[in-house]
Amino acid sequence: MDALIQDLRLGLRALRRSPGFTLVACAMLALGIGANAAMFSGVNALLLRPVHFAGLERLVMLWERSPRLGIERGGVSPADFEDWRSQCRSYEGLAALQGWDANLTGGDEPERVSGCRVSPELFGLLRVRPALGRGLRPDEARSGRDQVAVLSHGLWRRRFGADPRVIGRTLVLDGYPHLVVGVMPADFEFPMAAQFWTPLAFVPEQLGPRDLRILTVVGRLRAGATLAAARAELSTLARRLEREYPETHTGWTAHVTTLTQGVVDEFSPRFMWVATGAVGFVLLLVCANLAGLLLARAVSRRKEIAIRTALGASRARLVRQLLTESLLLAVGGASLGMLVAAWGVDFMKASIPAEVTRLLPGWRHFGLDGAVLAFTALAAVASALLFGLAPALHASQPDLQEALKEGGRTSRAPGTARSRGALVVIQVALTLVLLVGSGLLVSGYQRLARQSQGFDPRHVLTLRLTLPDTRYATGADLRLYARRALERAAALPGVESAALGNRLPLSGGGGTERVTVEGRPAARRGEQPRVDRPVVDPGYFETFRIPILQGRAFDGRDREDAPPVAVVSETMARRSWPGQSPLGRRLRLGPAGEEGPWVTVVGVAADVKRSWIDREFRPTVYLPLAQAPRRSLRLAVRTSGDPLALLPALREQLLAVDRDLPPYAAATMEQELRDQASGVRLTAVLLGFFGFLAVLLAAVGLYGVVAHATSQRTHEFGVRMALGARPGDVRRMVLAHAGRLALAGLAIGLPAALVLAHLLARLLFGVVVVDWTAFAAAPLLMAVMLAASDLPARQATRVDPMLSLRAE
Amino acid sequence: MNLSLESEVRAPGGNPAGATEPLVRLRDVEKSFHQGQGRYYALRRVTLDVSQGEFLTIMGPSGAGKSTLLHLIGMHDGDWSGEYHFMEEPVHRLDVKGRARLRNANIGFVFQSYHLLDDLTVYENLEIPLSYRNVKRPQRASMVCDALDRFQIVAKKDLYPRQLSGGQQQLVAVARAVVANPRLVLADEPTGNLHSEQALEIMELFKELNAGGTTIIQVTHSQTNASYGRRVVRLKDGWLEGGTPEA
Repeated sequence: MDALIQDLRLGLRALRRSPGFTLVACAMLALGIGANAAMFSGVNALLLRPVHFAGLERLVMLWERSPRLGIERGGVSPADFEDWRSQCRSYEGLAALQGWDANLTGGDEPERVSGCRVSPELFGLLRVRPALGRGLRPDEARSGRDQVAVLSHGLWRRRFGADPRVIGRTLVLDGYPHLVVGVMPADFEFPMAAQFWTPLAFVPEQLGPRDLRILTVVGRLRAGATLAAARAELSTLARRLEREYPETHTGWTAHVTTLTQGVVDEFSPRFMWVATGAVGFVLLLVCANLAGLLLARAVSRRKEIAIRTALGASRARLVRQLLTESLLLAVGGASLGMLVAAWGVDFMKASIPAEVTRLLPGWRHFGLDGAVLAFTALAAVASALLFGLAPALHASQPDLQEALKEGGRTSRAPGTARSRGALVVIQVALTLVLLVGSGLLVSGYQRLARQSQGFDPRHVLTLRLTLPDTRYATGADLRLYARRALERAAALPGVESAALGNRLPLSGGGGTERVTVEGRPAARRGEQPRVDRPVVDPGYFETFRIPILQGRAFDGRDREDAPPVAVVSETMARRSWPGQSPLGRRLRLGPAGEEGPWVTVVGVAADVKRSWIDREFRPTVYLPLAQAPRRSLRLAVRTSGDPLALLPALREQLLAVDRDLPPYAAATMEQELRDQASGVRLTAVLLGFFGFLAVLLAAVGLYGVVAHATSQRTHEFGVRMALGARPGDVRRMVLAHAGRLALAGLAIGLPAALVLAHLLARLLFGVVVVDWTAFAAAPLLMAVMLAASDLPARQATRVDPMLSLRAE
Repeated sequence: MNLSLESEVRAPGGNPAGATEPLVRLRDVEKSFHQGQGRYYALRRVTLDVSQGEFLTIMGPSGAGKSTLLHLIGMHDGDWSGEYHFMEEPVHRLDVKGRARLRNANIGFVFQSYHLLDDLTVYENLEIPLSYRNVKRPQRASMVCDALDRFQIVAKKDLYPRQLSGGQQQLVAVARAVVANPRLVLADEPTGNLHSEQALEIMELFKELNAGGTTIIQVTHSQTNASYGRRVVRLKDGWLEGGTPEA
């Protein structure tokens, strides 16, 4: 301990004596460690610990999956859930959840609230107790007794002013009164953004169809049961169900994930891991750079180290002393790094819109906490070892006689030069890999951002409406509301056109429907092609400026009692009727045996992306809203001016149609586009920045090595110039040395970058495409490296032969 | 300057009473380096005995191998052939750790350029060899204070080497060499960078140390310095003249 304190004291003093070196080293480490801490903060909050429940390690989620349809985490049908619940032995209990976004009325202002119907056992399984009142009782999961609700802390505060006497009051959801029985604690967010929970009661119609996969299932493993055993048990059960219900279960199986895995979506973690890998690379580069600097420092400290050895210092003691200095640097860097991390976290938080983050489990915990501090400390120690150990081992074996010799040329150290050269080679290779990776992602993002979505998103305002069945029981009710709402919206000054539909371009999600095309061989149930099936009104194509390529859009003729018609997308037309006109052709929607009526194609619309990240257009069949009325609607208006400025007036007009039907989720299409792209954009920005940082670090590293090597060769250059070498010859020599190092780095980095490019393309399918232009980074990097070496090369040409020879 | 070595009393000059084995015994020691196709011999078949309490001077022209021999005796170098016994311990059979242990317990160094550590104060420069020998802090403090007192540099204990004159720096270097009470002090041109008055002071210091029982081996070009020793051996082209032990 005493020796350690002495090492710390002396280490601090040594660093204080080289403020320039200390500052540069700490700044580099701050960037490297800080960026890693910020990324870890995100990974920890969003991927590793997105939920915080007691006994989390035993909480699991159960899914139905169909590898053939590419569905990894499918919902579960109520009938299957009941079978699982009664037959699985691995669980203390299972609970099902079904999202329910409802219109909350009865107060001053109607509003749309997100909620969930849940098995009453859910709160018990999660080991969460209400903060007020009680939870849901098992006997309330029955139709007729299910009109009770538990409030989220947020809804309780906002809607009821945190009134402790809220228990027993009524909550009107979609027109149905619910008795408030409890309030959950403030930190309870499951599922994300839920503001109320009501009992999940199955009606007989729901327990029939085995392919009504609408539930999310959560379970708690029984004490002693393992995840592997639970998986095996569920697989066995799924195989049995597949045999018993081949119509709905052929190709379907089931699997179990941990709750932590289950709540994280499948795609965004990939971006986070890619960005995490990139910051890891940056830290490696920082370490390689610092190792190079320390090796150079070791040369100037050879005499000091030799003296210490002569005075009795063992090698271990010297290594410890040198590592202590490295650790002090790392601690300094990490302390500054926490500031960088705080800034990084703020930047990342500001880059993702609230509309996205409110649905991200763990977002609330995204910040600097004890875990991030521990990670930072660990990163600091690991970095210190990484950049300090090799130089320390190298420096701790001085040639005593040579180092202590009077007037000897003690600064020559060919071993050090080789080691530093190797470090530069590693840096160039790492930088190239990082540059190619970031280049691919940035160009992938730009390609996606530039590409046409198939519609014009400018000046379009959208919002959502959900018509409850309490007051809109029939198709006629729905149609009436749609007509009135559209009339009022379209009549607003500044509105060019208005449209209603159940889905909008880019709205993603939404299921697909099986299709049967007249005249083509009938496929077996489950093997029919699938299509997107938006239901839209006549103004839809005009509002979104989706060109009609053949035939016509929907119009007043497509009434409820008129023959069913459809508009198909270009891709649908090409696939279903290749080389022929689809107009007048017929198709049926629905699984084999349960198809709807024949529908006649009256028009072909240009293709539109369903999701920003889609690489291909999906075959789409549009149906007219009048013939297929919907409760869940998206209203879109195209405006001549700022669409958001129109929102209050539009909202007022809609409430005038039905004051208990609140419009919600208002956004412009451009905003929607930005929201969808936010994750990829953030990753691209981060990787672009890390790539820039990497080039900077590699350039500084090579500059340091070349400058040091040049200073070591002053005598040699003096001799050469005395013998007739011209400045250009000396400069070429220096640049050739730098060029060889950079080339060696590129030779190692190129194949590694190629492997990484393919890995990235597989991991970020749809975003990253292996593109040879990204490899233009190699000559670019070479140019930067040569430019960085040119300064010391020019300095070498200014050597005065007489002075340098005399100095020797 | 009056130096009292209370910690270990040795007979002044020559062998301690009753001692039969020399402190240093070299037999046919050779040190060579690769040079082009062949080898360059820095030391050739060196055979030398140094008794406990002796004050030996090694002289010779530049490049004769004097410093090489000194570092070899100081066990800084393990890459040589022949036999070397230190206090009867066969150094030629010891590994790096064994040599370091033996060296740390028994040998102190004084260099021509003092080689004080610039970042450390006088006190810390004296403390560091003790720290490397794992001497506990209180004992270390006592030994350093004792040395400061003995060498009359207490007033300078908080100064850094750059704040001292050359003579003062070498004084500190000598104090550092003996702070751990070594049996043997090796001095490589200890007055090479000092003017004559300072040199005289340092040599007087060595004389007193030797009188207190410390064995001293110095390398010097100076006949005056050599006159402080009892015996002179000469090296030329790696060969030792006059180093053969008397029968």
